[in-house]
Amino acid sequence: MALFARVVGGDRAAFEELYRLYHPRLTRFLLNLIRRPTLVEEVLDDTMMVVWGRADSFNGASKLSTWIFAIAYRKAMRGLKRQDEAVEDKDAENRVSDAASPEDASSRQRINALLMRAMDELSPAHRAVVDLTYFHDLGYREIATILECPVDTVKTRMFHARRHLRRRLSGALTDWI
Amino acid sequence: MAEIIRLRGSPHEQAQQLLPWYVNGTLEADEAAMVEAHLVECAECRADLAAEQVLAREVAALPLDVEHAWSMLSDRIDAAGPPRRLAEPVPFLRRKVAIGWALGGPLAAAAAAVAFAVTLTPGAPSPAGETYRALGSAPTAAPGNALVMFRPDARDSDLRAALTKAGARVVDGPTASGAYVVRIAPASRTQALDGLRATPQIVLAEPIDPGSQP
Repeated sequence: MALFARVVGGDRAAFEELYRLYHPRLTRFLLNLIRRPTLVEEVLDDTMMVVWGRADSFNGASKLSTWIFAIAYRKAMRGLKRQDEAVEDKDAENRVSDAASPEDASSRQRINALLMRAMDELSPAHRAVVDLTYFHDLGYREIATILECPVDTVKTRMFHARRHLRRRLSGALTDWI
Repeated sequence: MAEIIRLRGSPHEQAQQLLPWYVNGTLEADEAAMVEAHLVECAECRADLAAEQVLAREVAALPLDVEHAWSMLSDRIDAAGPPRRLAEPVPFLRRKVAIGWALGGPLAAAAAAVAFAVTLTPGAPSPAGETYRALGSAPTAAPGNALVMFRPDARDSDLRAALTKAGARVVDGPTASGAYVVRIAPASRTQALDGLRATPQIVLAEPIDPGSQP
């Protein structure tokens, strides 16, 4: 928090440190959420610009990371909406990828590929809950704050998402256990 | 995804709902106690817990960056069609290589080969029995070159932090003995393994080389 206090005071070096601290986590979160590397870069920049410009509006009601992730989530959803209006790829869902089929690869790569596809089939909001839980290790209350939704919504999304993922991975996961 | 289901009510339903956060260790003490009390008496939830732990590990291990970036590029390549290559080979005399180098290069190489052969000790046993294995000849593009085993109570986040710090990427595992095969840049392997061995959550970190059995 000493670092953030310096950011509030307009210390550029402190902000750079904060940026470097959050860049990996935000990249992972946004890439999983919006799945478009070019948009990820833009949203990450927008997010950090808000953190820099509005640092004084952070009131400590939540953890700093929760506040930053919540800004990123809002920016991401807005970015997605903007881009979907611009170029709607109607065929994307039906397109068959001719990348190596999951059966060809080693078991680890096969599970990765299956899981990646299953994650792709979830909505961004569902993906966000899964990733915040299992990669970022956040509790459901914190996730609700980030996504600005009731805690019951987080639980319900997670319930549906994991049912979907486990159904898609059923064979592979039993082998893996 | 839009259907609404009611999960409140019975301890079973509540436990089902809280399992993911029981797995990642973020529940309040009373919630965790409730889930644990239910797990004791519910085989279905115990099975779900095991599956959930695997799912958690796999989600956390997703190499989102490379895989996804590659699939995006791959789609663009598909859309662009086959690349245009030079239709005709360029005739030898019109290649943009000075004729002197074209002739001198092979000569210099031959001279170097002779020089090298001369420096070999005459009569030294030739390494005929050995087979040389290039990295590219291994079954996967980047085979694992180290084995890492974690303490059973190590947290996933600790494991990730330790592996990231060492620049190690999981390529297979867990093996039957619970170890993971990882890939570390060969140049920094010794140093990275020393770092891993110094991590309290790590029981074992040993180099393995292509051809040897983990």
